[in-house]
Amino acid sequence: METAGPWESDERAVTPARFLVGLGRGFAGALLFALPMQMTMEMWALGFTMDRWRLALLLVLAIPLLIGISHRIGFEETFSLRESARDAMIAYGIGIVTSAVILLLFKLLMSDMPLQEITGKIAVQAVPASIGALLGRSELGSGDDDADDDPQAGYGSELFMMAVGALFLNLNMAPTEEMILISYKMTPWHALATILLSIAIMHAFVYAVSFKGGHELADDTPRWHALIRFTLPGYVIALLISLYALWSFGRLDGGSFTPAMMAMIVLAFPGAIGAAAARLIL
Amino acid sequence: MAQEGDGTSRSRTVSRDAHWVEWVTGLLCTVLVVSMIGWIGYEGATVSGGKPDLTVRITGQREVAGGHQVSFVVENRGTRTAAGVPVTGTLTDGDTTIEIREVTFDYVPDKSSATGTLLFKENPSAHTLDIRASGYTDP
Repeated sequence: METAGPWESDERAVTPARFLVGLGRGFAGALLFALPMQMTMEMWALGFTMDRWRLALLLVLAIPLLIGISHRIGFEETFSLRESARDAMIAYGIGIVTSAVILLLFKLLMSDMPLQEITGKIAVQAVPASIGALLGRSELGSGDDDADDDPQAGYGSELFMMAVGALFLNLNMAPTEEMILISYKMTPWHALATILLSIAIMHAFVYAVSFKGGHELADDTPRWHALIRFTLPGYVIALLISLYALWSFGRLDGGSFTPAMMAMIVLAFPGAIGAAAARLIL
Repeated sequence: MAQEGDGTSRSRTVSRDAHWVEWVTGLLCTVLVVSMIGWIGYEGATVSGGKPDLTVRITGQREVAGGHQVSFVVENRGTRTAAGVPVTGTLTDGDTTIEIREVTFDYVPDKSSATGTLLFKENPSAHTLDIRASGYTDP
């Protein structure tokens, strides 16, 4: 094994050519992940309507998230925090450049726009694009350095990957009006069924994936152990990430407790699938 | 639980005893999910089949260039979300209608409120202002 960071193999094999291939994968990943958002009307509007503090918080939270992803998917004994941070920042840069180019291409950025609108539009797209840039390595790269090759993934790392998986699907859907519209159409009984189905699908995934040995479960571990230790925490993570995404994009403003919870349950459905499938898709 | 070589096996099914943190996290999450299911179930049992109940309250008025702004809150005290809610403000002087302004809210969720502003040319303080939600659609 001689792989290390997304944009660099180990110290002996660094060549500009390999670095460029890594960058190319990063741009490909950013496009693959962020194009649905870059072509979503609500995301353009968020560039100037989103509360500036919430946008700033999102931009700051993205940094430890990217470092975490970089550390996890580029994981190897020699892969230090410094290298993770460097790769995370390269990914952030790729995210910003990709977003700016695509938005320019669609004539969504123009020179007569206020600076605040231009930076806002790029910034809100840069976060998902940079996550895509890092994941591009895992999705498009060779298979020998995938996350699930790490035999000693700890519990925290396991939950972190679930969070990334939840974000992966959530960020695509959270900005759209359909999320709250569905929650308004649903009765509490529909919501209840959604919760149960989310948990059931997650649990099925946890088991399907544990055939790949993902979840450190021995064959004789009772099923409810996995339910309590992995499925339910994973679902709660999907719920929390949904809540954060909805709040960030201003979908909960002025609403009371129950409508917020219903919207959270709706968004957590794709979130739960993303979280459970994290090991398969990342 | 069966113990294999602790983490040394390349087989990724590594048996080990769960750390107590995993159980604490797991039980905490179980409590959260169960209480959420309980809350939704309670809502379902008590408030099903409700209707929106819309009221409009004026919160402020100020003069701006070329007219007057009237800010208001539209509240939905009902148990169902109203969609496409037009809020109409009518300025009258006796039987004469002076000005009608309208703005539409995409959604006013149940037990929630939304804020908006109507822009009048005339000064509403000099006339009678009636401001109300004129209808809604079911989402």
